[in-house]
Amino acid sequence: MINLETPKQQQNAPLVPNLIGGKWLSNEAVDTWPVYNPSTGEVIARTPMGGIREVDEAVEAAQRAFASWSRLSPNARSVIMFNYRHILEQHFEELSELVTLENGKTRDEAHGDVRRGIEIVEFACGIPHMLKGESLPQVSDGIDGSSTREAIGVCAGITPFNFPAMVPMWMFPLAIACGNTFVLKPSEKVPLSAVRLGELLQEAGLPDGVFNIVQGGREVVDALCTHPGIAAVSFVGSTAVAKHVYTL
Amino acid sequence: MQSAGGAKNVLVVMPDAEPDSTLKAVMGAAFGCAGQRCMAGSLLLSVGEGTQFRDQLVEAMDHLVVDDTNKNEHAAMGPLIDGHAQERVRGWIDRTKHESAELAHDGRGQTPDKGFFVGPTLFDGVTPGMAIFDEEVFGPVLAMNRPKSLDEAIALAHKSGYGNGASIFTSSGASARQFVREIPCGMVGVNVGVPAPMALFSFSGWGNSFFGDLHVQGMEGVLFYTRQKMVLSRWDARGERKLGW
Repeated sequence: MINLETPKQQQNAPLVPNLIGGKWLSNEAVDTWPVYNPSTGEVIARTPMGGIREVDEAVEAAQRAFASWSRLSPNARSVIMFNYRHILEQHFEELSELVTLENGKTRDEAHGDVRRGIEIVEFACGIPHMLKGESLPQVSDGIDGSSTREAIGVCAGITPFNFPAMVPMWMFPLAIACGNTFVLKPSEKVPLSAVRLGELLQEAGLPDGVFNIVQGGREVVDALCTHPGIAAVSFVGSTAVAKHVYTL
Repeated sequence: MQSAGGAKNVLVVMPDAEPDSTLKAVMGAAFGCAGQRCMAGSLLLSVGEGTQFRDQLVEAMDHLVVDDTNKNEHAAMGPLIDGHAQERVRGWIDRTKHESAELAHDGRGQTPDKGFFVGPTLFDGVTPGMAIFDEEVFGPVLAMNRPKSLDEAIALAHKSGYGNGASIFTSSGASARQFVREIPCGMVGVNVGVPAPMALFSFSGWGNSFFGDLHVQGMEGVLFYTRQKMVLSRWDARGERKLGW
């Protein structure tokens, strides 16, 4: 039986940052959760278990960024996705090693985790085509009808430990490409891949506040699911929790 | 809100399945990512089977390299995520032994000293009503049942409330077609162990595997993250004159 409480190791392990409004912030004031290398049982980092305060800050930053980001042309947003895809390819091995370190996947499985995520970024590069609407001239005498698809605001993603790179990338590339801004809460057990994905997104030229990360557990989940400033929530996890958050 | 959950995904192996690729696919589906996938194949329905496929499986499980994935590039299976998960999966193995299922391969001994490992585990003779048949383990524990026919296998699959994935292994187009049409799941594999969609399609869980209307990824993802604006415009010359514009 492995001892889960290893306070000495935990104190020395680095604190995982939040990303709010383009700044990486160290949240010293709250309790932490140990991030393990599950192959050895060693504590490699500590996740700050944030709450409503951190969620409020992230949502405000995302709301501020929404006005200008959603007004950009879909092509301009697509250019950032192309940049991001290129940068992710350059860091493919590094990201895969990070997935193995914090999740325990084999090398092939970690490659698959990152590769499936990159494929969604590639899909998001085609966003201008996907946002095109329909039109029908002369739907009635002298009247033309047309439809478009518009961004909805601040979106949130809550992701599980089992795919540290892929499942976050199921969500934020597409949400952002559509013109939304985003708050991600990665699993407190595997926050490191998400942090690296956020750093690389900044390198790709994403404006501050478009993508934010709040580290934590249930308190952050509840705050995101009930926050009046959030337009849509994507969740992936166990059925019991999936059902619970769907009713919040 | 789009909310995706867990599953108990069936792998149906027909007597006419190609043996080598099927064994590889079943091993991958059951024990890939140490079984910690909502698309893990965790319920094996081996149709018309004596013990031939089971024997091959057990042999493959004996040879599966379970090790530190940072250091050993030949490791075919890594650890569970933490000590809680390890204890939980060991608990499943203990409890299932007491439910009259046969522990055909016990993964508890096949592990390195450090880390949160549980090796590949197989239970045979698993039936509906047993927790291991009805519930998700989220670990490297494969439950097995040997139905007499495809009809019986599909009927067993219908007893699950989950609806993520289901796969059939066969060389018969007719069996594959019947399975695809009758299985109550959103993602179906034909000679594919983990029928998770690529980015172009949506991750289409049904039943207790998904709560919401629009799934993640693909075009449903685009619809989820946008809303439609419909515009009706009237710009006709006669109307302008009449209204004095």
